[in-house]
Parts: sequence; structure tokens; C-alpha cells
Amino acid sequence: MQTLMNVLIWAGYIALFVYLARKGEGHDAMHTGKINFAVQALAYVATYISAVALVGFGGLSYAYGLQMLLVAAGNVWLGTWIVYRFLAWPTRLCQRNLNARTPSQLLARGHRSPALGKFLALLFAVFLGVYASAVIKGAALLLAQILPLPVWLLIWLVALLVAFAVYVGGLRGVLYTEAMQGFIMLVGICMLVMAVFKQVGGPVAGMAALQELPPTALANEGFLALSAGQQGWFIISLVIVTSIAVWAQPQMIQRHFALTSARQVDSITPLAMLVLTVLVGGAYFVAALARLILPESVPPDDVMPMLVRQLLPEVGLQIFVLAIVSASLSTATAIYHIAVSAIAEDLPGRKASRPAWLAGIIFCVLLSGGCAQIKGQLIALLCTTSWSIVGATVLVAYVALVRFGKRSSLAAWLSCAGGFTACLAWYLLSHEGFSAFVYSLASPEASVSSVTPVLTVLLGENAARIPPFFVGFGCSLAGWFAGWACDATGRKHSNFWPTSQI
Amino acid sequence: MNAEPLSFLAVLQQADAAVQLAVASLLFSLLFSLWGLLRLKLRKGKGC
Repeated sequence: MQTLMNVLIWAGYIALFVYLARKGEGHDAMHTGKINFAVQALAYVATYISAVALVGFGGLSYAYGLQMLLVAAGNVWLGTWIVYRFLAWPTRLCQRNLNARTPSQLLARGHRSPALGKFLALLFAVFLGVYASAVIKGAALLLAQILPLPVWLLIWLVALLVAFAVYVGGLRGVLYTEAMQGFIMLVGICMLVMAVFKQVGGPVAGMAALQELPPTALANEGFLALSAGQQGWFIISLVIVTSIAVWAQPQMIQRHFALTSARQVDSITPLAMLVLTVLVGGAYFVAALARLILPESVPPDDVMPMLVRQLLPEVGLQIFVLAIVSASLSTATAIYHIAVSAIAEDLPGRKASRPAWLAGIIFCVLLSGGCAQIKGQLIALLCTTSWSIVGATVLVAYVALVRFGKRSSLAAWLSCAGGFTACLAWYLLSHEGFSAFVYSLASPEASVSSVTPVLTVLLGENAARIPPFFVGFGCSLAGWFAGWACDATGRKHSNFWPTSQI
Repeated sequence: MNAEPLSFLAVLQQADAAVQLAVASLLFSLLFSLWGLLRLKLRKGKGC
């Protein structure tokens, strides 16, 4: 009986996914048509929040306590309210005025540099294509816990499901499937929140009990305080990277292309904030309270699954797994769409035909599915760095264009190249594997037992603790101002046209 | 013996300023978004 119920839940999910993906049939793959505000709000949240945020950061909340709510608050106010208040509608106006179909085209046409568009398209195709492998693998690993299929097969099945939505639905279908997935995530987290509150006697009693727990190495000031030293700095950097780098992620920029009017922004903002508050606020809060329920020293990635298995009934477990799989799929479909449009349209420099679109999808499936099958240091590095590198590369040039109407090819190039190079170099020089490679080049005979990262050797331990996004952003900003100062023509031809039309 | 009911504010006062800020801003965002949605509903009700 239970098995039948589970089969029905999953069959219903897949049927609804296919139905919603097909809502985009007959539309241009880059155009959304008119989309309801609720769909846009849920799609924004679903794209933003991946399984990493729910399961991975849930594990961090267990380890660090309620200070992780700073990340949730940052995501809601910096990552959503500021985006819709200051960036979303100007982005839509720029995109419409420039007749841009993708985020790469928006920046390339905005800054009058087709080569910049190609550079960004290549960056998005490589980094997001590989990043999709981590997202897909996360979903496959979770599915392997409840389906009797090998992980390698599940990876390909998930990749094909995502590819189906992108191929059949285009951007419109992707937005609809993401909205459905956002709703399922909301239901799953609400169930878990209620179960945890019941177990610990409510949120207030749970907080009081957390306060009584002795400090640990990570939560060194207790579970109701920001940690001192390196641990607290880690939380602050997490807030900034997840809440500000998101502004310039192409899959998030593209969500604004569906806006129909400035008034629609007023409708989307509160709903997106409400859903995000419940999702991330609820998830991190109950994950921190999990310390009162679960035994000590649970591996971070096991916290949420253990909590669910312990507290929810079988049907609840299935719905929660659906929620986490939805979190992965929604992020993956958004990333795929960007990577495919980069390959099929931005790099060739012409409107994507149907065969080119299909070829782009096949390339993405092979790239992400193939990368997900292998355990390589380079792939792991690309996956963990993608968010920061893309953010550090694009953020300054994007905000300067859409918010301030500044258009300069030179400034945009220096900003993007500076942000990309500095962020990537910072990652590589603080990476032990890369440092070992550098040392082996310097002295091939020497055997190195424990490797000190090159960055620590060059700049000291404190410098190595600075997140690469911060360094990349700083260099990007410096590059922009240097280019702006030198580009008299760009300055002369810049105006405030996007904001003047609000 | 019944334990005295815990007050939310009393518990929150035991947290440090950063956690207080996070909790307060999340609660405020709940109120802000619900108010925004209510305002939207009222505006639609008036047919504006």
C-alpha cells in the first residue's frame, strides 16, 4: 500500500513536471510570454535555493547554531528585496531597449562590445555547465536513497529530465516547472518545521534549550551568538557571497526578463520574500534545533536527511525528498538554459535554430552528466568556485549598466577580466592541490608531505582567509574605475536611459 | 511543578546582537511581505 502511494506521488510529480514544461511549447526558447507574478516569484526563489542551500547549509546550521539565520536574513533582504527594488525592472528595461535575448547579450550590447558577450558566454557555458553536474549529482544521490537504481544511471536520468524541460519548454516551460518545484519545497520545509517544533516544544522552548548548550569549536560563543574569530568571519562571508554574488548570476538576471511592468515587481517582491523567509529561515532554524534531537557529531550533510527520517512519516519523507530533488532540478533547469543559450546562440552570434538548441542541450547533458560521473579535483574546484567567479566577473559591469546607465566597453572589459582573474587566482593559490603542483614545478626533486598554500606563503594566513569573491569584486571595481577614467568616449555616450524610463 | 512559560523576548535577549538582528529581520520580512500581499489584495479589490 505504501509502495503504491510512493509510486503515485512520484508519477504525479513527473506528470505535472511534463505538463508544465509543455506550457512553453510553441514559444521561442528565450521568450516567456506573459507570466503570472506568483509563478515568477516562486521561480526566482526556486532558482536561488538549491539543494546545497537546504541540505548543505542546514548541516552548517546544526554546527554553527542560530547565527546561520544571518545568511537567511541576507538572502531575503540583500538577495531578494534589493534585487527587486533596485535591479529587476531596470534590467528588464535595458533588455527590452537593447533587444537582448540572453544575459550575455544584455552586457555585450549594453557595453557595445560583442567580444565581451562571447567571453561571458564561454564563461557561463563552462562554469555553469560543470556546476550543473554538482547539482544533478546531488539530486541523483538523494534519489538513490529511495530508488533501487545505481547512481550513475540516476545521474543520466536526472540530466535527461532537466534537458527535456529546457528543450520542450524553453524559458517559459522552465519558469513554470520551477514555480511548481518552489511550491513543493515550501510544503516540504513547512512539514519539517512543524515536526521539529512539536518535538522540541515550540520555537521559544527550542531557543532556550539551545542557549543552555555548551559552546563548541565552531559555535565558540554558544548557539545563539555570532562566533568569534575565523568562524564568525566565515558566516559573514557566507552572507555576502550568497546574498550579493546572486545579483549577477545570469540565471537570476534572466528571471527579470519575464517582467511585464514595474507594478508587477510590487507583487513579486512580497511573495518572493515570504516564500524565501519560510524556506531558508525555517530550514536553518530547525536544522539548528536538530542539535536537541540528533546525537552529537552528525556529519553536516546527514543532518537534514536524518531529521526527516526520524520525524516525518513515510509520505512526509517522500514529499521532503521531492522538495530537495525539486530544489536541485529547479536550479539545474535554470543553469542549463543559460549554458545552452550560451552555446547555441551567444557563441555563434546568431539566433538559435531548433537543431542548434538541441545540439546545445546534448552538449550540456554530456558535459554535466559526464562530469558528475567522475571525481576530479578540477571539476570539484569548478563546482565550488562557479558562483563566486561568475559573480565577481559580472557584478560591477552589470550594476553599472542597468542601475547607473554607464556604458563603456573598456571599463566593462577591465572589470570583467579583473574580477575573473583575481577571483580564480585567489582560489587556485589557496588550493592545496594547486599549491603542490606549483611547488613540484619549482623543485621537482623535493617531496612535499604537508602543503602550505602558496597564498599563505606569499601573503600570510590572514590574507588566505579572505573569500575569493571579495578579492575578485575589489579588483573588478578597480578595473571598472580605471577603464572609466581612460574611456572618454564611453563617458560621453553614457546616459541614464534605463532609470529615466522607470 | 509547572515550568514558567518562556517569553520569546526574554529568550531573544539572551542571544547576541547578531542573532537578534537576524531573527528580527526575518520576522520583519514576514510582516513586510504579508502586508505587501494584503495591500495588493486590497488594491485588486478596489479594481485599481
